[in-house]
Parts: sequence; structure tokens; C-alpha cells
Amino acid sequence: MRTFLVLWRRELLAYALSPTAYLVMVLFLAVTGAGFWILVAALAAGPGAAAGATELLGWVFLLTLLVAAPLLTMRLFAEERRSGTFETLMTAPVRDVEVVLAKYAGAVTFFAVMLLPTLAYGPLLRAAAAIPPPADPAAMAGVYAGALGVGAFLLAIGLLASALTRSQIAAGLLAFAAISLFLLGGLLPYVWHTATADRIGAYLSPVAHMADLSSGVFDTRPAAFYAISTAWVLFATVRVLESRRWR
Amino acid sequence: MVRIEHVTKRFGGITAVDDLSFEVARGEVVGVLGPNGAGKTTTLRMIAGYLRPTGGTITVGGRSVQDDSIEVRRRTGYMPEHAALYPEMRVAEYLRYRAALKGVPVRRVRRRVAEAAEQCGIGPVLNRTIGHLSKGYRQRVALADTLVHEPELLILDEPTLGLDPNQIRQARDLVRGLAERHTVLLSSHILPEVEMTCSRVIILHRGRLLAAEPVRALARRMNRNARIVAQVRAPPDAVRDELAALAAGGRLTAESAGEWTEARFEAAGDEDPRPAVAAAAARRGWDLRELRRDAQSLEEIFLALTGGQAPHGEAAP
Repeated sequence: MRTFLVLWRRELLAYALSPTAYLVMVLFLAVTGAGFWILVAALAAGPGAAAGATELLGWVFLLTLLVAAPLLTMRLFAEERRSGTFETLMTAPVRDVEVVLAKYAGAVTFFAVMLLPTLAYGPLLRAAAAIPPPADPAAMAGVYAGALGVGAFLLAIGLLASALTRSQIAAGLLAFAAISLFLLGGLLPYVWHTATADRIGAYLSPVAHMADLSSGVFDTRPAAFYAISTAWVLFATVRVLESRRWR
Repeated sequence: MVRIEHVTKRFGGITAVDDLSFEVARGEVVGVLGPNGAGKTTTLRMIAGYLRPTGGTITVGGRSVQDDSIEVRRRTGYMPEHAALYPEMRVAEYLRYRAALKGVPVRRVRRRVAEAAEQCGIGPVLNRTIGHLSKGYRQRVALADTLVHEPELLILDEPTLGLDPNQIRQARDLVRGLAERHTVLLSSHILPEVEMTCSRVIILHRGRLLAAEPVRALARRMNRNARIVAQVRAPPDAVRDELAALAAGGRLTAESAGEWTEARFEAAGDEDPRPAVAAAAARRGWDLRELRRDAQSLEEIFLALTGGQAPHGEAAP
């Protein structure tokens, strides 16, 4: 456990000292902030526009993640492999699984910190509005849990991509492609208007999952989907690290 | 301390280490010698637990590197070939992180970092950012890292690579100092360096063990057929008469250059003939202005060890 904590702290420090991380954070807040502003403007125009606008905000969030997740994770293994620090790291008394989990926990922690400022949106809106809108804390908590869950899954994909290559760019592109494929699954219902496409879309679309959560519906299927997929990707990452010893 | 038995490592179709066996006793300083591509780094990486052997067994302190890797790594300090550090961290910060990672108890971390820093002479740069350090300092930070958890075994891969002569001398003194408390296994492709720091050498060539012998035996090998060049202020004939006994087969050339004579010959025995040359010059009252030994290169020693043939395509049973 101590090994994990020591590694995790070092990962957090690496984020704190990384210009890329700050840049990603600023861009993420700028884009989601713009999305939020559009949503508020749409809601002010009338209730009819609201449904489409919520979905739009969902997609804005996912598209930012599509870029942010590879940027935040591509460095993690690729850079250590390229610079040679990987050898020093792996000859210390650390287990492969500890290294993977610590790096992953570091990325998820940074992502959670990145989400924190958006918590101000609600209070800001209430302070600015003439008639304070009603707030549903449970739905809010649900949406944040959903955002964290989706983000955590995409970060795991990025981590796996980083373990596969010693080039950061290649790792980033690989993660970008994999995440794009996953998001395309959620877009199927927009392309084919069939029952099957709708079913697949409902299973895969993070936007649909977040929309459910925002209206206070908690479905265990997406929760299980993200938990299992994330665990599986992390397991694959550990195996990739182990395979290196044999090559 | 280290026992390697019939270890083989293949990368795809390439055999990097081929049926290698040797031992290192506790407290020894052993140099692994060989030209580039001899399998030195691969061997050290396997002992450090970074790579797994394709076949054979490696034990460190009686523990199997394959089965008890974490415990072995806790007792081993490994410095890879290119001192790779996190450039964005400060030296003290990095060493504290590494100490904690290698299981130094929390209350001892600070003291151990201070001690290792003192030992490696990096006290003055403890608060500097690693990325801003010179190559020599970075190397020493890496060495402090390998020492910080007081390992029984130190594995140093080319510890002087890329250092300037002054830094090489300091690194050498440092390694010699380490020998008092640790078993040291270091690799190098520079003969004199190993000669000065190690008590025993293991010579690898193309992944095979060519020789494992005390450094004194290696020195004798180096002297054998070493070319001696001496310049004395004396007539060539007198020089030839005086020094012929030291030359292999009495073959010696003596060329006159003004009032100086340059004698060149190959050493006859295993002993270094230079003291004898100096003594002869002193006895005859000749001025001596140059006396050097062009020792055999590592390549030449390999040739000698393999019976005068380049070890190409040796028939494997």
C-alpha cells in the first residue's frame, strides 16, 4: 500500500509540474464553460430548446474528453520508456499492478480536480438569475459521478495506449482513435433509425447515460459497463507491462 | 552473493546471452567486460530483475530473481547505463521519493538521503532541479539513488560512460569506496578502468563467457606481447645490447633521432618490462625521456582468448 501511495504522489507531482496538464485544464474549462453558456442561453429562450441543449452539452463534454484523455495519459508510460526512467522504476521493488494503478489513480485524480471548478456553475447561475432555479442535489451528484465514471474509462484507454508504445504521439493518436470508435458506437442511432441501433446506442452512448443521470434515473447497466470495461482495460495494461520482461 | 547458472536470453531470433554461468562472492568488486553488444547490459538487467532469462537460473543472496523478484530488488541497487532521472524534480525530492519507494522506513528517509548525498558528493545540489544539472552530477544523483536503501548488491552499468576524465576519476574513487560495504558488479568496455576498480573480471563476448579471472591475471594478459616504446639519450647499439634481453625473441628496433634513440620491442614475459628499462637507463646513466606501454586492446585480448580467431560462427553443439 505504501508503494502505491509513494507512486501516486509522484504522479500527482508530475501533473502539478507539467505545462501540458495546465493547458488541458484551461482548455477543458473554456470549452465546457462555453457549452454551459450556450445551454443557459437556450434555456432562457424557452423550455422547447432545453432537451436538445442538454444533449449538446453532453457531446461538448465528451468531445473535450476525447482530446483531454489522450493528452493527459499519453505521457504516462511512453515518456518513461523513452527517457529510460522506466528501467529505474521497474527495478525498484514495485509490482507491475502497483505501477499501473498508481499512474491510473494519478490521472483520475487530476481529472477530478479538473472537474472541480465546474461545481461553481450552479451557485453562479443561482446568484445571477432573477428567479433562482430549483436544484436537485441527487441528480447533480449523479451527473458528476457519471462524468467521473466516463472520464475514468477513457483515461484507462489512454493509459493502455501509453503502455503499448514509447512514442507519446503514437500513444496519443492510438487513444484518440480508440475513444473515437467508442463514441461512434453511441452515435449509431443517429445514422440508422432501427431498433437494434437504438439498443446498441443506449448501451454505448455516454450521452444517453448522463442524460438518464441528470433526470435522476440510476441505471445499473451503464454503471456495470464502465466498471467492468475499466477494470478490463487496466488488467490488459498490467499484462502489457509484464510481457515486456519476456521480450 | 550472485549465482548465475546456464542463463540464456533470446530476443526473437537473436541470442543476446548464451549459456552463461558465473558467481560473485559477497564483498567482491567484479567487472563485466566486453565490447558493445557482448551481452553486458542484458546480463545486468536480468540480475536486476528487469528482464527475465529465457533459460537458466539467477539467484541473489540465495533468492531466486525469477520467483522472489520483489525481495531481490529490495536488496539490490541498480544503475542503468544512461542515468535516467525525472528532470522536473529536485534532487532531494527525487532521492526521498526513491528511498520511500525502495522501502526505507519513513523516519529514516531524510537521514538516508543525506548520507547517500554526502557519499556521492551531491550535497551542494540537493535543492537544484535535476534537469539543470551537469552530466557528472546527474550520474552521481543516480548513484546516490542506487545506494539510498543500503542494498547488499550494487549493479552499475557503465558507470563512467559519458563522463570527462576528471569525473571518471571521481567516479572510480567513489566505486572503490563502495566496495567496503557492498558487493559490486559493474560493466565497462574500458580495460584500465576495470583494472583499477575491480578485483576480478568476467569477460563476455557475443553473449558467452570468455574468461573469469582475477584482475592480476588480466594484467598479465595485457602485458603479454605488449609493445614497449622507450627513448633514451644513448647510441642505438648500446641501447640494443642493454634492452635485447627484455624483448620477445630478442627482437628490438633501435632508431636514432639526433642524440636520442627510440627503442621499440614486444615484452618477453608476463611481467611489465618498464621498470627494468628504467633501471637499465639509470644504471648506464642515460637520460630517459619517454617510456610507454601500448597495452593490448580488449579486441586483441579477445583474439588471443579465442585462439587468434575472431569468434565468428562458433559451432554450437
